[in-house]
Amino acid sequence: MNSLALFLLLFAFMFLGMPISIALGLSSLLTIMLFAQDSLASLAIKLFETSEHYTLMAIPYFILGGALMSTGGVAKRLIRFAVACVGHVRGGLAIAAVLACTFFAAVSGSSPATVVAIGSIMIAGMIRQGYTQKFAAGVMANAGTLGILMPPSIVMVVYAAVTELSVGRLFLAGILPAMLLALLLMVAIYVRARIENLPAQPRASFSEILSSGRDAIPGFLLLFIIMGGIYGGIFTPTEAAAVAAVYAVFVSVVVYKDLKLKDLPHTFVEASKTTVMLMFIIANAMLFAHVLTTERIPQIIAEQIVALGMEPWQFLIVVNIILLIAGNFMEPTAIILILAPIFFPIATQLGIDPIHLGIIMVVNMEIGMVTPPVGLNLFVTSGITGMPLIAVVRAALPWLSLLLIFLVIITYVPTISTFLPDLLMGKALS
Amino acid sequence: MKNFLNHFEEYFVASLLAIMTLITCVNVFFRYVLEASIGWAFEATTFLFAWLIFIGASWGIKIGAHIGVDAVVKLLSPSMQRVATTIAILLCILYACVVLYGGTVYVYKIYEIGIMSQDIHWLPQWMPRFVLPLGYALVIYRLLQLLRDVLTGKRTNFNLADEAKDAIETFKTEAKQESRS
Repeated sequence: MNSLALFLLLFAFMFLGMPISIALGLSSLLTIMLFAQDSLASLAIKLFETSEHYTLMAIPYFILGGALMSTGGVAKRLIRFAVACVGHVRGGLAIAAVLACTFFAAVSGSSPATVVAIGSIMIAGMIRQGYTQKFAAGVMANAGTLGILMPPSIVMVVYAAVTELSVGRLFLAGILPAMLLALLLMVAIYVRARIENLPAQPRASFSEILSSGRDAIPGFLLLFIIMGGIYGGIFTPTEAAAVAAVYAVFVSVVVYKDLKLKDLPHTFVEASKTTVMLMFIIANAMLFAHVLTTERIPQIIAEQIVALGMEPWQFLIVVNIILLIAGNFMEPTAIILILAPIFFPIATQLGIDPIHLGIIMVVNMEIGMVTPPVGLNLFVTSGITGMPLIAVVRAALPWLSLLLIFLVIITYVPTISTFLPDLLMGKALS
Repeated sequence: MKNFLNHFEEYFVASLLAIMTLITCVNVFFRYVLEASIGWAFEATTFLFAWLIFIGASWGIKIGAHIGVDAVVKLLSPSMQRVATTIAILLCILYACVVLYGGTVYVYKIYEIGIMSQDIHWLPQWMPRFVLPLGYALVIYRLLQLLRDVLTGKRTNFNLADEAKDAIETFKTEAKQESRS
């Protein structure tokens, strides 16, 4: 009853056009005021406690680092290296675009940013080489989703914070799936390129590969600092994010000279804007999660599912369907914040590795980015190409089916997600 | 000067982000190079983070940084959009008033008890927490401004962010800055 009120209020407020953050906060406040006896002061404490959550503090730093590295200069260098590596294959430019997205995803934790940075250069480039606009746009919209699967990933930080898992484990778990997805996309492009006889670039000389690689190294080092720092035990993920942000200032201003010192304040303002938007959602979602726990909603659903005798694989189908639907309507962070507290205890009871569940959730969020009506990657692709949205949707569709196949693989082959973290950090105790 | 006041929140919030980042990095440096952590670093960053979130919330309403689902409202006729948006803003004001009240009670209690912060010994706990009432008062102020704009017909819907447009524009300004250099 109470939980029904909570969710009904949330959806009513959201569809009324309120910001998601306030819709989450108000629906929680009203449910508590109507059905529970918590004092309003204790709810204010819950909101304030968001700022004391150490894992969440990594979010502003990752956003800042991403904003500093999402410049045309970094994108161009990564693309040059990607083209030098794989451009000579049939369909080489499109394959290089996917590779460049994978590289870029390793400096940025955002999917739309990846599409904009790589797509605004690569789509025009592909069209010049004789690819159709439809082909180029479809590839880019889908390859851009790698942004949230390849670490660093803000969505993963949020999942880790909600479930109290290690950010490091999740980041590691994302690497193999991200590579597999990139590989799947590349193979599909290659097959189509063979059939449609798409052009190849002239083979790059060995010295071009070397010099473009050297030029791209400062960009790659960002991921190295984050991952190396965390696994080397040098610093916490939050500290790693802060160090990476300062390193990104150094690279963009001193090494690449993409940004002038006087442009820095502007980048900080842009990063603050994203931070505030995301953190205000998270603070209010903390209230929402508080209501869920006090009402024991996750436990009740879990008991019912276990009583139904649902097998883990059946449960995962349900999870995927709910996430795919939710992904069509809501922003990834909000979905994770609302649904992870519900799915997590059920998965634990059914013996599903929580890290594996996290990766499944992230992959679903990726798919949500390329499905209408709120698929951000579609809007961004339409924005940079000038194609109507419906044309982008159609262009993305064949590649989207590939993403769905990928989701099935990730869901039913947990080893892909858990292999690296188990290997490098030992098996999880839970 | 007027320009400075207009952008005050922006500079304030961006500076908080910069200071947080610096403190965290300097702390890592101290731990490894000087082998002595800064005791107050963690607590200080959490306080700055709180001010970033809750002062930023009202700034976000002003500049339209918050995201939401406006697809449904946009299906309505313009006059109905205004009605829906008015209700939405009034509900948001209700939300902010409840938190403002709860926050004030909370901060006042802490003030009465008079506890000091754990690591920053000279700082009374109520001071960093004062951002709750302050921030939500500012949120109400910005919501009232928005309500005025809707009632006078200056706008029909909530000032929600267009993330796709933002991502593209941020990239474009950066590309421009680059070509200038």
